[in-house]
Amino acid sequence: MIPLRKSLEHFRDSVTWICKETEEFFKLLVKSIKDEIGIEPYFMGLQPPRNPLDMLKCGVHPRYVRSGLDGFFDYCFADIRVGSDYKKLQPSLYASLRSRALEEAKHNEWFVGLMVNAGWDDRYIVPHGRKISELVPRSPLRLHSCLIEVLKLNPDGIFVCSYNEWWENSGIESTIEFGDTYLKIVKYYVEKYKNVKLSELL
Amino acid sequence: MKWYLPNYEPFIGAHYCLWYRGDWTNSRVHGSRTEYTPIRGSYQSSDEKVIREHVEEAKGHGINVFVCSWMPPEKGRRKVTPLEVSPWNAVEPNYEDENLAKLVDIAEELQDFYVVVILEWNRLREEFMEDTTYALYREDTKGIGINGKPLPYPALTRSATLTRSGTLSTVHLKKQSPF
Repeated sequence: MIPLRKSLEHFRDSVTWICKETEEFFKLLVKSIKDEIGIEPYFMGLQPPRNPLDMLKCGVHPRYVRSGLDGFFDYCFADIRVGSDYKKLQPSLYASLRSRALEEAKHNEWFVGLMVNAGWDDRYIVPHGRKISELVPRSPLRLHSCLIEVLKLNPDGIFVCSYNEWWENSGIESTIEFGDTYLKIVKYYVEKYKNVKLSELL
Repeated sequence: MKWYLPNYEPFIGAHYCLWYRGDWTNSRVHGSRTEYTPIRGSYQSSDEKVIREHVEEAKGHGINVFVCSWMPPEKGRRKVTPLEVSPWNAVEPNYEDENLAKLVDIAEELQDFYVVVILEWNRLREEFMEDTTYALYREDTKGIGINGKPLPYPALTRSATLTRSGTLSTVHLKKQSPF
């Protein structure tokens, strides 16, 4: 028996994450890890919305953090205008939700990281049932616009999805066709972002 | 109060895949699984030279964290699609785990570069506990560790989600004033 497990045995048969014991679970987990190996980890949620309301249900809603997490990553892999998860969600509403999440995060000292991507098209590995309208063509313009939107909100972190997820055609790694175009775009905006962050330190 | 990585840099992460095995073809689809051609060709994620080039390339363009999808040992056999083309359905169930170990070592060597893990498909707290424990006590579980040593602090610690899919991600950040 590994020591960490002992204090958490009470929770071993729980089959759902969101319940009244979640906060207690995370508190015990953090304490156990800290006692055992001296690390006090921060727990982040990765938030893949399955429908437009999940931003409210999970991402923005304080229960996400009250449940023991220190923050979350926004994980919106598809364009809000074309993705199946976001078809019903207008861009303005989505931007509003993101903005609201960040306001809450700053007020409560939670971490919020926002995602950007260059596109998303996984038909090469999932050839069945995927509609063209659900896909986002990979393009430099797409990455530009995502980074601009995210920088406007000045999040705690940026999450590029992805570096090399080639089977979903979202990678920014250098290619024969595009060279390092996508990486240069990231570098351009990241330098601006880091300068903003640096100015906050001074 | 702001959030920073241990070197007081803001978090600039990129999703990094560890599952490539050198064969990027899929005869059931179009012959190729990707529309574009990486300059490194159809590389293997186990190739340390490739990993090093990736970290250096990312660092050179302002990225300081690789966020990795990862399956703990043995869970890599899981089939998640009818066509069995999922990268999770690894022939070697420890492949991604071993590649993660290489990445963590290289990130540590090159400095100021961090590794975060997303653990997919964990629905039970029992699994969460097991995998958290595994990640923090690598050498204690199933005889597989990162070169026989625990994960280097602060490269990897745990975090979790409360989503239906039970995705688990990990990150280590400092929440403190630099002064």
